[in-house]
Amino acid sequence: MIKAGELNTTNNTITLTNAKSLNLVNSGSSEAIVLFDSSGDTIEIARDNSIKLGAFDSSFTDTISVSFSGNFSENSLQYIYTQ
Amino acid sequence: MIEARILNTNGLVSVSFNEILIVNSGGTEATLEFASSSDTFELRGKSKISLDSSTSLSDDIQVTFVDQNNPANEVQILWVDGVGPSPGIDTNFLNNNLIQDADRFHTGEGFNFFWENIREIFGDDVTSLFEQSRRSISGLGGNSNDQYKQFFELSNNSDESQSFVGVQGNNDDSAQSFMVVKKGDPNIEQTLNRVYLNSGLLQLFAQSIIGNLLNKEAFLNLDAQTGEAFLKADILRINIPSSLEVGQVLTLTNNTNKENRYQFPTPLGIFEVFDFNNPRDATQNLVDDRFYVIKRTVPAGLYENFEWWVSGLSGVGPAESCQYRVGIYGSNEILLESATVQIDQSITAGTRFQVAFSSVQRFRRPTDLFFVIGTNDYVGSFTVQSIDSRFNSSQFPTSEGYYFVQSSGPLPNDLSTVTKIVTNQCFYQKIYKI
Repeated sequence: MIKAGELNTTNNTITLTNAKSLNLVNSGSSEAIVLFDSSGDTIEIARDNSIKLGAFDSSFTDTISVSFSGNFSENSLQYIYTQ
Repeated sequence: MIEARILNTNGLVSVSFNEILIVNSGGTEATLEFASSSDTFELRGKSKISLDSSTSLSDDIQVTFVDQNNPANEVQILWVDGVGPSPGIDTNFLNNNLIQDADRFHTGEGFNFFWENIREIFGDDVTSLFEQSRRSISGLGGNSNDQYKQFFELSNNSDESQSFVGVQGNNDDSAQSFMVVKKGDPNIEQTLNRVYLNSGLLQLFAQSIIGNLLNKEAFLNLDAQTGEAFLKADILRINIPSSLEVGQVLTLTNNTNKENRYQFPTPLGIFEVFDFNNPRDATQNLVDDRFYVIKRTVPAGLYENFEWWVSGLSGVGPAESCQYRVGIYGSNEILLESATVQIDQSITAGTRFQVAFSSVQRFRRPTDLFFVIGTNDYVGSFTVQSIDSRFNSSQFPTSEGYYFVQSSGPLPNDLSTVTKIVTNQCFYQKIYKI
């Protein structure tokens, strides 16, 4: 199953359930800082960039939250992952 | 097994994959709806997503374009299904799809973008397949060999942050230059393509400005008189020296004055072609209580300082002076750095003022900056001509388009209060007085 959605300043948390891979796409106006709750790790994704994680040997469940370096209405971090 | 389907209009694709790559290669934004979850994902033009899965997944993907009337709409979906034989790369796919795409993309970054996507999912091994496929290209007719060469050279330009900007020369004495904005990888070969030297010398210099001295070192010499191997070379592989530093400049010169042709794609770690012969000095005098703004697109890279060079200054008397202010603003018009310099009798033409950024400016992509200059508190009758700008003590490359913003009134002491007022587009690298 492919799950997908969008995080922005009003919807900045998503829980991934049994993910086998994850792609985060910053299509917004400023840099996105992504926090992984399970580890406390953060990653920065520049505007118009993306990161891809996977394929995981075992499924991956975590909650990620995002903040943006600038306060723009166009901020958007899209996520897409496989289960 | 790998399959590919290119959609020119809205459509539904059934996939079964371990790896999948979805590329919106142009046109308008596409919405992907996944049947398994009913989730949607919006994929902008010139964007891509890829997913790996440890187990094979099957899904139906509905593709809908925002503007269904745009003829450039195209989403490509490529996938690898682990069920089939490994590695399972189908050369028919390459011949039927990829090579034909070369005809459409071969002149621009679009093809490079597409190629990078292909390599990302299939790995570098796919390169060998193009050697296999080369034999098939002749069937495309016309300038198919050129397509292949172009294709191959683009494949070596693997930094996504760079668009394809290359040097192409012919029978004129010319020089083209690149600025090093990050160190290249000495282990990666660059290509100098389609070298047809009838006579003369083709040289690639690494040059840097140390103080006022130009240090110039040739590391590639293609001499028609001494090297038969260099004549009529389709693809010549070279290595960019690892000693090159940020801010250095590579210059490719053709002093042959004959019918020689060459093509040099932008090397890794180097950005933007520019012309050293194009002056950046403003030729008109600054006027007190006016300030001038130009917009420049700076290459991606790290910048530690900027520098202003008073190129023309005449007749500053013992009791004459002015305050000369400069500011650099980011594309969001936030002041990045500023400096104030007193112009008086001690300042001579050619004096450089270097200002270090309080923190290194890091641009991940070409970035628009606004340069504001102006004089205040002018006393006397001398003239100040402006001004050559440099970054990291190196010449600054030309941008494609220049804008200037002009504002009446004095340049405020607090440059953070300067805001953009009027924008006009011009195509000369001049700072205009009002």
